[in-house]
Amino acid sequence: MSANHELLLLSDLPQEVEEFANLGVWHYDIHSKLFTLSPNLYNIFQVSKERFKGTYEAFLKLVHPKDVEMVEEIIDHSISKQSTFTFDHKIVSGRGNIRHIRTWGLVITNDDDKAVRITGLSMDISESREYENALRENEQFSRKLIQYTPNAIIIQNLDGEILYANKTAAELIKAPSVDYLMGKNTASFRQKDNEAIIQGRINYILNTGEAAPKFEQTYICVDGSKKIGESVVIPFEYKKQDAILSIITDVTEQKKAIGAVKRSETQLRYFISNTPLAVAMYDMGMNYIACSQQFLDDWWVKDEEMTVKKIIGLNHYELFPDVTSEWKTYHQRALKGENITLEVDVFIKSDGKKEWVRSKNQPWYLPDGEIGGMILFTEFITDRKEAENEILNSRNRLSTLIQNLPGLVYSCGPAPYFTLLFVSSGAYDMTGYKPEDFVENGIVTFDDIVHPDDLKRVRQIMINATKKREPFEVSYRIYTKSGQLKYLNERGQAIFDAGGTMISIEGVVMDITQKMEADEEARKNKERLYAAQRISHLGSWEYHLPSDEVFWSDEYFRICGEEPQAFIPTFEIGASYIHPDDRKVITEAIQNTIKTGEPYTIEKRIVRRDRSVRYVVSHGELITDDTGNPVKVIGSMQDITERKLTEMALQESQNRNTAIINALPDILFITSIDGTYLDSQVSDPTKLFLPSESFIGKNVRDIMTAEISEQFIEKSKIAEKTDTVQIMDYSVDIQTEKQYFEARIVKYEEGKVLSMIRNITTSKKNETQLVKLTEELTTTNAELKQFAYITSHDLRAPVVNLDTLLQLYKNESNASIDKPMVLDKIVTSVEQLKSTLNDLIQLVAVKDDTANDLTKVDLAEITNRVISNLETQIKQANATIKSNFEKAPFVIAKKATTYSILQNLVSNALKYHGSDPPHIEIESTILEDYTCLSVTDNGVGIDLDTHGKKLFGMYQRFHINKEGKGLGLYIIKSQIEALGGFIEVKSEVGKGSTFNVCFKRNTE
Amino acid sequence: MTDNIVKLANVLVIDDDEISNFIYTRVISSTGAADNIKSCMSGGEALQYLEDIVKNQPEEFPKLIFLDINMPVMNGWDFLNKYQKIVPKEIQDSSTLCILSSSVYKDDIDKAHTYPQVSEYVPKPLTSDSLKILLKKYFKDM
Repeated sequence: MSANHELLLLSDLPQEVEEFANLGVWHYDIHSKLFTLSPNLYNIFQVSKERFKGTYEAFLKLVHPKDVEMVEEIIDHSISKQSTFTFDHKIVSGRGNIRHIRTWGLVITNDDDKAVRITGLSMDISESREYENALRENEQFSRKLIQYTPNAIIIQNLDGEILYANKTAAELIKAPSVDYLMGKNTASFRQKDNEAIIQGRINYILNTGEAAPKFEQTYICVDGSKKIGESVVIPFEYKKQDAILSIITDVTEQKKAIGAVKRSETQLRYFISNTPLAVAMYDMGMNYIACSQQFLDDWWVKDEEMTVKKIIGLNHYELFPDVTSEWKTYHQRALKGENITLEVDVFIKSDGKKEWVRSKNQPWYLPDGEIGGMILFTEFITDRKEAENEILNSRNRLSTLIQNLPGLVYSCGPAPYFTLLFVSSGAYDMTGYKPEDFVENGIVTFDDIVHPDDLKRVRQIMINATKKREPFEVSYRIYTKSGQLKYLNERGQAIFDAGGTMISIEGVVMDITQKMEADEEARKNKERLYAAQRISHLGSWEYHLPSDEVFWSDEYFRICGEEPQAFIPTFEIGASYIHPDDRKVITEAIQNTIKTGEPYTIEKRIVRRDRSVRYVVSHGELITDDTGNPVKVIGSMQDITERKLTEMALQESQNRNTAIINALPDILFITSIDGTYLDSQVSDPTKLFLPSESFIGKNVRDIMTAEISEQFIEKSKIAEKTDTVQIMDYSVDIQTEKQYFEARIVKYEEGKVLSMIRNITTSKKNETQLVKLTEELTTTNAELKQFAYITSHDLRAPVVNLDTLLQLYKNESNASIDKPMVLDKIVTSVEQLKSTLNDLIQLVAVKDDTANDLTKVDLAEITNRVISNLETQIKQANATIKSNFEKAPFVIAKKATTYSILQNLVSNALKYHGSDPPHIEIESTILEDYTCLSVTDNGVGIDLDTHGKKLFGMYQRFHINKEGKGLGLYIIKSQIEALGGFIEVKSEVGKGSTFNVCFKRNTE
Repeated sequence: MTDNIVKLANVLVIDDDEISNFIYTRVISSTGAADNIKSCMSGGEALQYLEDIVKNQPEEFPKLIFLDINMPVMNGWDFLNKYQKIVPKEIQDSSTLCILSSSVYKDDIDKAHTYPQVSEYVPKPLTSDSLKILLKKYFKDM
């Protein structure tokens, strides 16, 4: 036997060889049980010659207890079979180390074929053994890693056939099992459009032996749906063949979240750019974030094309270099938090057009309370402003007219004093006194200058007429300042308020001295009559019926533009001087007078030969003889052209003023400064919500609320005193609808103001809507920013960590004890990533949720569910929970939402407990329109002065060394606000917190 | 490569995320750039640590500090505001402070550059390559 031979040779091995090969020889005498070791075996077994007893038993004691039975069995077996043997076993060395030993043995027989001795050879294989073990463990470890990694791993051969896939890979493709994927071609799970790139990547890694960088591609799942994955491919050897290993990270959810953010941002931009108002939103550097089309329509005058998209990111001041420094100051103030409204401002656009502008500059806020930029809202009010100027001009024209009328226009108080309130400047020409000498009985009264014989009669006529509410006309004499006697004709009418009280008498006084004097003279003397006719432009005529003869006075000729008695007139010649349109009327009137004897008075026009027109009043009457036969028609013709022209001018001016007033959308009131309505002017009476008569004479306090009236009277007084325009806005509930008005109050005359009232409900509503919209946009924008922040920061953080950890893992030497630690960190990072993604999904779900499908939710039931779910935490913290829902057993909400809110609050209370065991009280109460669910704890509390503003913001954390990502309260806030409710908190550091979640009660 | 690496006595990393701290320590120690790497889990802890050093052994002040932004209670900005006041100017100047954040948000980057104490804004992850570039840039003369 060759083995026999070898061992025999070995037994004589020199010690150097034994040491070199780290082996030794032993002999076991079966009969005597003696067991002898070669010198090097003492070294290998690490026992001294003194300690080793040299028996089989002593050898077995060195064998590892677990292996003793095996060793005995093998040796017994080999003795009985007289066979050779080989086995591995462990020994516990004299120093207590465990050594791995490989032993070969041979049974030596005597001549009787009886086993007498065993010679063995033992070799220390500990080092190679450790190496093998480590190798095996490492392989196991890799397999585990591949199995449990959050990444999908696929190994394929160069034709694309799948050789290996882990569970995550099967999940990614939605395959029923890992086996399903085996042998399938990866191309069948890929979208085809990237084939060229993918082939390029494979070639790259095969040529260079390096990994190809991350590549994003679309995978087609087994059910046809699509997923987005980021893959890294590396060259690999699998079961001795060239292969490719792909590590794929599923980024579908991440992409969706980013997509949602992009879509919301697009919506926001779309919203601003399509609002019918001129709005622009800027960041802190006055760069455009968004802007409406109207804004561009109003402001953009350059030739270069500009769109609401193109403007984003551009700087306001670079686009509009002509922005005044004053406006820049407003912007800066708004960026520091001020709300600035400019009711009226002038802006000269770069095309030279002057525009009146109303503008608002207001900041918008980020969720952390910092200002994110400003919003500018502008409105061109040029049209309105021009209309206002038109009113003022019209007023001025009217008063100019009154001041320049021939004669005197007045307004005086009622009997018995007839105090003069207003006298036009014609007074000076007429009386020699200035208007201000009369007003308020300053220096002279009318009584002082009226002829004493006439005074009583004049007063009587005025009193009688005003009693009957009729206009009056009276003639009387006055003495002027210089003592001259004048004849005056006065026409007037009393003005009454709604209650029938007389306010004033208004009238016109004309100087008729010349006419009266002429009349008086005429009575005395015919020549003087003719002279008088000339002076008073009164001509006379006679038409003798039997002879058909016509006689004209000198003045008649003059009125017709002819020299006196220049020709012998006839009826036909007379008719030819009458305006063609008036001829028929006058001929018929004369014939009627001849027939009936009735006199006539007609206004007609004379057309002179130079085509100039005179207005005349023609009077005619019939003269009969004693028997009643008609003899002649005599008549007079007075030239009233001057008066007529003035009257027409007045009429025209009044018409024009009425037209202007009617064209204005405003209601005009004249009020005294103590608030009494004196007059109203309204183009469309339906705009007044009470008939206009019912206002006049009443005080604004009787009609409006105390607040509005006081403000109105105060503004009236300022307007009257300072002669400036005062503006006030107010609202009135009319037929259950709120109507907004703007009153512009200007001084009308001493003690009186003119108010222009405009209904601004529509623009006010737009404005309110805009403010609301702006708030919503600001919130949305802030939330969008938060979302962007999450995706950029909080999703990125664990991914970045994973990346680096995997790198570390790869670089770690295989035997390193740190390797499991790195793996542990990988698992933690994956957990973080998962949890952040879940929160994000929950948030998106809240945002999409509507308040539909609300039911009565039983609070006791929800509380029991929360408590049983949190049982472990409650026990761990040794917490006590008390609840009381007697006052309000239900809320109107969704079960799932209510559960989630309560779960969040209770688990917060458990998490942030103080040194005492937590005690939590849950209660419900009814508070006006809300049912409030309160959760009170005795925990660490929150410093509201420092953190109060941010408490319900996204990603806010206020405690170190506690788990939590700062989303819980934000989610609660979003959930309760989606239900129309709100959340509030009271807290004291070290004492505890109370969270009140208030649900809307839907009382209708 | 290793020949060019400078050796810094003390490096400080501040990040509330345990894993990030683990990674920095590993990456920095793998380049052999530091004798001693201290990691703090919060801005408050770091301030306390720096304050003690300034008081007792100012020569031991970290030559390189990595600071995260997004941390609870005292975030990176709050830390910087206090750091400016607590640490004397000449010590600040002898140290290189880098913001190390996973935020790639422009606002954060811009804000970081408004602090004169901040030498660099380093986006995560910190790799041995990016660390070597930093060391070359700021410690070439040592």
